[in-house]
Amino acid sequence: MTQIAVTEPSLSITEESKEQTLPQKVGGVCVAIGILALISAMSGAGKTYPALFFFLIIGFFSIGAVSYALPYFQGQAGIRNNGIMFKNMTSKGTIAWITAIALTGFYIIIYWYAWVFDGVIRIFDPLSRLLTNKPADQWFMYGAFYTLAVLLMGIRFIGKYRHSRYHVIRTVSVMFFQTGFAFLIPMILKKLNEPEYYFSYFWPLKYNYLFPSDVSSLVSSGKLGVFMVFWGAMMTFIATPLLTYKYGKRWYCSWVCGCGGLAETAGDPYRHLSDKSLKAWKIERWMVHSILVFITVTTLLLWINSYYKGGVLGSLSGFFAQWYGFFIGAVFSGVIGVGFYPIMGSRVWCRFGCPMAAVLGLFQRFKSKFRITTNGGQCISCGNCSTYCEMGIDVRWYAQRGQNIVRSSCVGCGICASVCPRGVLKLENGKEEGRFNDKPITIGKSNITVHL
Amino acid sequence: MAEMLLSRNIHVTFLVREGSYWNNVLPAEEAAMITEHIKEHHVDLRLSTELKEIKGDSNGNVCSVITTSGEEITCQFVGIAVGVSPNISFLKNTGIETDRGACVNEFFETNVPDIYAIGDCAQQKNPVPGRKAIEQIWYTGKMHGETLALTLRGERTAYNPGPFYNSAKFFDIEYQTYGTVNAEHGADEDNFFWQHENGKVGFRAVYKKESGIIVGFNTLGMRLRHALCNAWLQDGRSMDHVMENLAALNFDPEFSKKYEGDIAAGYLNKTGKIILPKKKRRYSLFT
Repeated sequence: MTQIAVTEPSLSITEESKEQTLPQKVGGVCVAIGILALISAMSGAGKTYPALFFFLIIGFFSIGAVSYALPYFQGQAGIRNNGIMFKNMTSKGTIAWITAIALTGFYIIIYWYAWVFDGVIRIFDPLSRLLTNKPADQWFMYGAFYTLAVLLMGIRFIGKYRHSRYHVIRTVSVMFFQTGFAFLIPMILKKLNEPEYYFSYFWPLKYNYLFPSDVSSLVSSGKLGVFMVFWGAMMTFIATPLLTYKYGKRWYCSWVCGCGGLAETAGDPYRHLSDKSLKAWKIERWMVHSILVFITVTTLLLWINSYYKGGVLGSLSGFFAQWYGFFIGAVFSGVIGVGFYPIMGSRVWCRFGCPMAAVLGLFQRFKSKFRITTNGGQCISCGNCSTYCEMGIDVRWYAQRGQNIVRSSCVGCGICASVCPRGVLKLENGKEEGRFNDKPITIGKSNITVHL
Repeated sequence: MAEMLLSRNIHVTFLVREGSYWNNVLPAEEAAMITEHIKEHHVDLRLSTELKEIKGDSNGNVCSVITTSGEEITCQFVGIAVGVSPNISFLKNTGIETDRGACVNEFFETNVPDIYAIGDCAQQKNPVPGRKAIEQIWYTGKMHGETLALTLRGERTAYNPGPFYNSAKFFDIEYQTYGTVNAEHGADEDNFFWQHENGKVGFRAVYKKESGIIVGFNTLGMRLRHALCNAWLQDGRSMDHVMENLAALNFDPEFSKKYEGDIAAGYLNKTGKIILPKKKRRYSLFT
């Protein structure tokens, strides 16, 4: 009986290629060493040898991640998502679940049991003293790991999408805003004894920046504090409508915001896991707009209360603020938002919870020049666009009838346009007039009109 | 198929009957570009070679093939993709008129009332001028279906397609065609071809020699706006108009490299005509 040689690769197209390339093996080993070092640090070694463990952990994670990303820079440049539906990590396999539980656990510990991480927090003391003149706390550690994740996974993303200048530039932007505006600047402000302020976050996302308590403490801290209040108000009430009018939601959600930055970089392997169902779309619209109403009412109540200095309003507004801070600010945006990446995709917070997304979405939907143009009749209905849309938009439905995509949830990541095999989709800013073209005529049929 | 096998790290040998990939449809330069690109992806491409014999082992599985050049190639899988032909054997003795395909009129009606045929198996008795009697691509199938749907809803509608268009993607190179671009252009036609030195971007315009009216476009690695191509072809625009408004025609993503300047330079070289492509209007902060 003839036997097929054992060394031949399996012709089963549903099996992932089991062979790991050398960079992947090196990467895996480095990450494993990094995890070992992390556990050792947590157990106390980090307190005794902070600098050593800092370099061990950051170093091995970085080398590991870059090594694992190396294959993306090799070979022909072009879009490839080989094996994404079969690989354990990207198809809700065991490794994905372990990662999700570990990430969720990390968030729970850091918010409410930070002492557990004391050994690891100590390894950041040298860096923290350099940047802030103070010892590290769990938030410094969090910021450092978050920034590192965006940078390392950003490198992987750039490799994967290096054929697209739009994606490369956008990723550099996101890396820049996270590193500069969401990490270095606030830390250095701390060093200068100024308020620790995040210029890239504003109301209603960083809701406290327009709460009376924060406003008064910023104003009383000095000239810079006053500027910060003006900056926050300007960003919320002037820049947001203007920039969203010109460019759509994407100026913030895909180019500036740190949540978006992590979602696009570290979340890239998971974008296809977003829920595409109609039910999810309905839930999303109710949730995200309810949260916007909630935070708006809370903010108004707080201001009314601070003006009248009442009792009833005081406890009500305080209760709202506390409740919001815990469930939305902490649990939703942090724990669920990132912890659930490997199971529900990278934009759970953005899609179901972020009030900023709701505001930007309203502008994008009703008063903006942004749209994703679908190129006439070129769509072949392959469905890649809908599969890879991280916001769960059924992009294909629009593309196959030649209709422009104008959706309040679209963050303008541009991935749908990249995975389209026929180049049917183009993110662009154009004339407001005719933006919806909602009685589309698929090009090629001269005598057909679609009656809706 | 080759791309799918390669994505699973399965080595592929590709036998192509023609001397250059798809050169019965693609003009020589485009065919050459794609042929190169296929090789770049480490496909063992054998041109002017066909399958002669398939050999099996004692289990009934394929173990090798013999090509027309006499070579024997060991393999475990043979994929055959040599085009489509209407599968109408099931219509024998049904009274439905067939030829190469199921014969239909412009309403997709067969000779039997209430029976229609569309798509790859339908043969137009009086084809639309410039179009084939049997159209076997996705886009025409979709248009057949949409046309017939109107008829079935009560509005008897004739098939009336606009300018032809098609597209494909060969590994990482996208291909689009609008209007009529054959492997060899007609005697009364001329054509202008431009290719980027990286071998991955190309643009071709075919037009009538005398009037300069455009007949069709081919692009590789560059996207054109379908609505505009469609309109210009229907309106009978001239080559000069095309060259002047190249920027409007472009559908590439934002920040993509622009080729209008290079293409204009190429056109100058060929025709001696200096046509400066209009720059796309930059929107100011307040528009």
